[in-house]
Amino acid sequence: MTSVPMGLLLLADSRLPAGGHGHSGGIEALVDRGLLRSTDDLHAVLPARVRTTAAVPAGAAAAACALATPPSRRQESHHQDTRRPDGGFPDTGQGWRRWDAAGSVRMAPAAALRDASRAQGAALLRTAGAAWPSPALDALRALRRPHHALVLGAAAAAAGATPAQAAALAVHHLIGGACTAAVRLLGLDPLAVGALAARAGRQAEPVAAGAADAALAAVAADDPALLPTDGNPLADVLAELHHRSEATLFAS
Amino acid sequence: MSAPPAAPTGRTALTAAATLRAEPAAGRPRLRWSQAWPVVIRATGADRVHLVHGAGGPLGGDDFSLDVEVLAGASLRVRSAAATLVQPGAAGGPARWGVAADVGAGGFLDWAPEATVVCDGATMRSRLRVRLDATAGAVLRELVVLGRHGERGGRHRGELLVDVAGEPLIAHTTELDGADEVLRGPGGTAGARAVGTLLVAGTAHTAPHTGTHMATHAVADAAAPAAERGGEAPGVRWAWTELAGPGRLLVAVGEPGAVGAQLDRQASAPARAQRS
Repeated sequence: MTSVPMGLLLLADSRLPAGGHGHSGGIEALVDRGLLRSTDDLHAVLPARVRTTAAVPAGAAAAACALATPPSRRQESHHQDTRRPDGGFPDTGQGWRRWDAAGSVRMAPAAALRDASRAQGAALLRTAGAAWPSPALDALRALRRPHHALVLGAAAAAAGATPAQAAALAVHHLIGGACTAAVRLLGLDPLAVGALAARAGRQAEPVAAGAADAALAAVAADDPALLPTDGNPLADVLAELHHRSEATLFAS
Repeated sequence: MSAPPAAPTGRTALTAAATLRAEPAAGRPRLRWSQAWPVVIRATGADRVHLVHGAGGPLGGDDFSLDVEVLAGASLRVRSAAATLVQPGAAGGPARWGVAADVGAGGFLDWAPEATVVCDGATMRSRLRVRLDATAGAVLRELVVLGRHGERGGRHRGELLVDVAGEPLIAHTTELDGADEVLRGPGGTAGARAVGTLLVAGTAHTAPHTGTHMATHAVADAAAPAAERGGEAPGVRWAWTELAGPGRLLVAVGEPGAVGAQLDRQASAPARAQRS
């Protein structure tokens, strides 16, 4: 058995059709305003975004992964930290609803970001439901447009990944989406941007690990309020303004 | 650990817990409070108090809290006598300011203290936690400024947590640091020194300042022209957003004067719209 599930690698692959290409993770709004023009600027933007906007999706993905792991698999290696007293497992839409709402209140300052998250969640749910059929993903369908991080976490669980890996996966997509958008919008050197992505990924490891720890505590306590709440006010304002402007390449 | 900067006043760290309660009463509301120096409370109107910081500060190491209770049918307006100036303290560590407010059925809380200014070398942790009854309302205004004129400013971590009828409405934490090149860079605040928020939460309530009745949904709703829902002007970028629950939020980022002016303009917009 491999130590890294192949399904996790597929979920991390931007070639998996999941709707991410239509979103820049706030990069286009920065480019439009001249706040991001070069590789040097991106060098400054990535760690800032990792520190301010990564913990919320990472925490939600890790929590969803822990929740979606069937009780029978919880005792295997990586789920010893999941101390859920009831062994409850969200195999109904109702079971997911509070965790989905927790995503909305953490993205409260920008309806545009909530919409983008739900659009990408719906797209990924179609793909993941076909790739890794599972009761948890089926149950998420009852929400119609669940938040992207929840679907990502539930899909990661179905693909055999751990909550910590799901958190890293969410941060990986945040960095990758920003880098891809920056290359497309500014024609930056893909080699240089690749190096920045690797660096940002290294810096993001403690953020992902911290978010996963918080998520496991939240799941153990059955309390979504314990999930991380970090945000970025300028990113929120720009997301709203971007959403209302016309002739943009990316939806967010 | 390096030696912390000396406190400007030289005093030791303080812990203080104050309480404030608004009760409905025939004719006029009644306010009760227990102040805890240096958190001083002054009644300045039938349903209004001003907070005063009595010892210069808060300083690093100080831990102040205020518990607010607005009983069913009561209203309360909270202001401050001046900006809160957070400075490093001899005790080191962050200054803490925690506010917890409960607003009962039909009650209304209007929370609008002056700016919190975090001076160079200082660290502030603040938390504003508000629980509203299903029929209560609140307007919460907060303005954080990094540094005095000519300063880059210190560190501020602010949490805003609001529940309506037991359901979370917003849970948001903002970390700002004027000395952190990453957080003040283009992926953070892009050099802005001020962040302001104006949260209009809950259902129908009484308008602040004017006393006129105001439905929450009168505030810059989705049907309003785009120019009233957000924009960019010299010194400030701002946007209103609809929350998933009952409420709306304005976020403004930019220079202190422009952000403060934008909050003031937006706070009075509903009353203006009613008159026209």
